Amino acid sequence: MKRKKPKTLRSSLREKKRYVVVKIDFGELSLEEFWEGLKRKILELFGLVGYANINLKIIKDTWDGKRVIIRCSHKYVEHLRFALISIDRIKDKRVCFSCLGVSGTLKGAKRKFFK
Amino acid sequence: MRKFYDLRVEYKKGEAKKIIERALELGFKGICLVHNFQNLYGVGSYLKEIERLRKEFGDGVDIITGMMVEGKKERSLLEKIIKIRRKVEVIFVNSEGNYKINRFACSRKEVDILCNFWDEKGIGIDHICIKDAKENQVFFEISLAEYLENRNVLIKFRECARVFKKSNAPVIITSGAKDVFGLRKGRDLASLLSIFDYGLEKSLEAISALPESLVKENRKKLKQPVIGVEILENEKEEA
Repeated sequence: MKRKKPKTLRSSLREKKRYVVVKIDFGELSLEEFWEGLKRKILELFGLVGYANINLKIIKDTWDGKRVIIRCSHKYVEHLRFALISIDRIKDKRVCFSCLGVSGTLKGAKRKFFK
Repeated sequence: MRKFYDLRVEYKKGEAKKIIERALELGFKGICLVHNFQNLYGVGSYLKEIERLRKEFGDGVDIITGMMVEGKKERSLLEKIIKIRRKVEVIFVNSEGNYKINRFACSRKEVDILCNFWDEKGIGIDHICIKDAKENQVFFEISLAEYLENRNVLIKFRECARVFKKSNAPVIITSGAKDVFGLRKGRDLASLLSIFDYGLEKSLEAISALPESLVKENRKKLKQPVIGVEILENEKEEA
């Protein structure tokens, strides 16, 4: 019987990831506003190639209004940190983000920063 | 655990308490509230306010005194620096890209930090400035606030990171915050240089170990009755 979907890549072929826990220190934002602001800033700073390299993904179910987990490539955590600190306004609202920590697994990030 | 120091946060009398509380929240071990030097009367009231804040916050956060000096001529700048050298812990010189001032600031032991040193064409300093700065322990400042005000400064930061890495020049990273919104975590601020291949370890040192050593050294100097003379503690008499 032929498989309909490709098998998951072997772990050695998969890209290493990091899970960055971001806290919104100031400003009332929705998840969409935050995501749009971050994407725009990364595109402004690093361009489309940089955006692709960072391999950004937001873990939506971790959003609680003040904190969220973002997944990125393990080589570009510093780039993500820089993008986060350089955002000072989103839609004319003054905002301020900080990085609570970085973890290698989603489970670890949740255990450390969401309990 | 690493102790982070933010050596440039603008001092505003009404907001000082809020800024210190926010710095505590962000995990800073020390914070320097920088006052723009106008006259000696202003310095007196500033120092009194800092003393009051130190008593209020105790050992939770180390509040450091700092003064920003500006001037277009070396002579007037030196006069201002000499007036306040024995009064505050950290002295900043804002050169606004003037090479003469950059060169002068790097060659004076009284100056601690040179900020806003880049000009329109380049980074505003050369190998002579860097050599002098190394000898006289003058630090070059990379500030987040400068970047937030003018995005093109990032080009200068990249060039600075390359030159400073190669020449092993003394650098510190600050937030340059004007209010609570401008303050960022120490670990996050390190990314200002680390994204330009400056090295993560060196970037972290630029916001922790180097500012700490600068403040310690200056406090030691301020305790001296005359420059170069040190009072040693009484040793116990041998029986």
